[in-house]
Amino acid sequence: MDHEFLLSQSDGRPMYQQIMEQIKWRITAGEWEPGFKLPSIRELAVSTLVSVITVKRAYQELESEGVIFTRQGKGSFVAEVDDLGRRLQEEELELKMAEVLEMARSLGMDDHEFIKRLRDMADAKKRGN
Amino acid sequence: MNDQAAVQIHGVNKSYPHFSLSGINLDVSRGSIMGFIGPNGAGKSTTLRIIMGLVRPDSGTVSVLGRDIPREQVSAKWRIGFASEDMRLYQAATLAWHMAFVQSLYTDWDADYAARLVKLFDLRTDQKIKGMSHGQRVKSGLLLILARRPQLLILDEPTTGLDPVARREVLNELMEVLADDDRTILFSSHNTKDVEQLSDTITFIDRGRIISSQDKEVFMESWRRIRFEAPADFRLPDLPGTTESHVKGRFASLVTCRFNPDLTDRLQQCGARIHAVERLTLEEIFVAEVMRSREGGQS
Amino acid sequence: MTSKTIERPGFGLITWRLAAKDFWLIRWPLLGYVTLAMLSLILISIESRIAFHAGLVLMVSALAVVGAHLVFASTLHERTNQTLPFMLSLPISFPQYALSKLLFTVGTFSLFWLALAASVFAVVHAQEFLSAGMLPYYLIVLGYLAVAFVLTLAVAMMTESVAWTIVIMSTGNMSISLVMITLAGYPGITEYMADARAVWNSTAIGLLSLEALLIVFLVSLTIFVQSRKSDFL
Repeated sequence: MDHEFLLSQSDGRPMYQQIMEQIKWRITAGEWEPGFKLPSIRELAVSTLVSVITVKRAYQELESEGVIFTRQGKGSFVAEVDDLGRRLQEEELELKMAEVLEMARSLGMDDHEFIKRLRDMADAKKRGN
Repeated sequence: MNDQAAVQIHGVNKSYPHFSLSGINLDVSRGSIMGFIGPNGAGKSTTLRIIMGLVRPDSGTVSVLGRDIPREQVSAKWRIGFASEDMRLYQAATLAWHMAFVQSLYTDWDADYAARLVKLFDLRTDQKIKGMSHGQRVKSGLLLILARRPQLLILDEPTTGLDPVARREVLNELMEVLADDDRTILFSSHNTKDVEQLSDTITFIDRGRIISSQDKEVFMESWRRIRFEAPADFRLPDLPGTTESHVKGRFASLVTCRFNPDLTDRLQQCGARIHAVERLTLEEIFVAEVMRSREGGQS
Repeated sequence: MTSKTIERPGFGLITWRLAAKDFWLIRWPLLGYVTLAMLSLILISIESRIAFHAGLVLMVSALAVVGAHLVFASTLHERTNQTLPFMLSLPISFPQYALSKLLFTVGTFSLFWLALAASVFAVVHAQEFLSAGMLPYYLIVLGYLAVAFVLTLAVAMMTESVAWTIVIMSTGNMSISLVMITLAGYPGITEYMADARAVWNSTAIGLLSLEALLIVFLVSLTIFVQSRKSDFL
């Protein structure tokens, strides 16, 4: 099994988050299906040259988000949830929407103004602008 | 806890005319990798030598792989691989000679793995040590250790002076060691990036004292730099864990070693507008810890 | 992994391998010294008084030079070449390390010494024009060389100081001529030097015993002092 995780130290985000993200990508892309057995924490640590404790943290966070589950002594598996990939993408979208909304508000923009701008943008794109 | 520790040091002191180690406590769990960081002359090498039994402390206890050091050092050294920065191999001899020599002493030498390492490290066994580049020499030394599959690796600056390719080769093999959850690595390094990436636990040492020793994630999560905008009459609240703060006009920042969300709340309550909450690199944390320790006088 | 019983080489075998390693590392210089020694043996076998004495001088030089190299190859070079940490990272104790050094140095020197001393004995008995009465004298002088060597070695290993080693070594070298002259006129020796048979009187035996005792004492002292050291680096 190819475990080519591309992690970067110059990426501002902590390693454990990068690992979480890459695992989520694989799930979203359908490469790792529900029930798929993840590499053991140690295996992943060795192949990505990241400390065991960081991989452990990534797995723990993923478990608390319900993306994976762990069976004592057996390993960790992708959650048996239908459309997990889509759900993850929707969570991602929610996060980004919240970010953008916050940004607009910090600029002093009115919520109505913001939604109007969003709609204008969507219409323009539809017209092939 | 005792059985789980690969290395246990308690209350070690060692005095030299111009330097002393004081109150050294260190616990390295089996199956983990600990990064040991300190400025030059801080006592890293001395500590590692004490662990190997090559220097006897004035007081304190040292236990390595369950063996009392320095009394049972020979027994311990069967299972330890040690490489220090000031260590050299025999210049006039070849790598093959060294491999045969080590093999003649260690019957658990894995010849297949050794041959693989020669290829992985891009070395030539018929080459004399004096004809090798620095990187090749370092890798040769590591090969001699790795092929014995020791339970504990004690490495003083294993990647210092290596080119990026060699560094990658070495880090790969070091992490392979940890695939076995009963094998442990303790390494000292100036390369904070390597330490940050690989270590499970990190220990800082300065001026003969351990100033901090914690899980890597605890370090990385406890330290933050908060950038914020403050009104004209802003007074910085007394937040525990603040190690430095700067205020320039309306723009300010502070660095804390005890970050939690309440901190930003309190700042906001005082009228600050948070621009960013940034993580610190291990290097920045290290420098901040050393500064803090030196200003504090005692740790 | 930890419960696997591994057959480890014993103390003696390891000590032997350490000594053998040192021997191997200076094999080329040793070959040079063997050549020198052989030359001296050839010289002393020639039927000529001058050649014999020239050969003896060469022999003394060869022994001195072998001794000097061995002294430095014992522990001093390990420190200057920084190979000591590598050696001490091996599963050996410091006293064992010292023992292997003694085995290597004293052992190698003894090989040379015994070969040369035996040759002198053989040649003196074979040649008519050489008086066997000189044998105690020769043996005591050779014995003195051995004592000087062991003393320099002991100083080198105990002090780990190049400076002290050179001082003792130089003193030893300079004293050889003095010893040879003094011994030649020493009562109990000088009277029998022209005899056709070797005379092993109490003086000769006494001096030889003193040399042997000194060597044993110095070697023991070295082992004792090295065993007491606790900081090896």
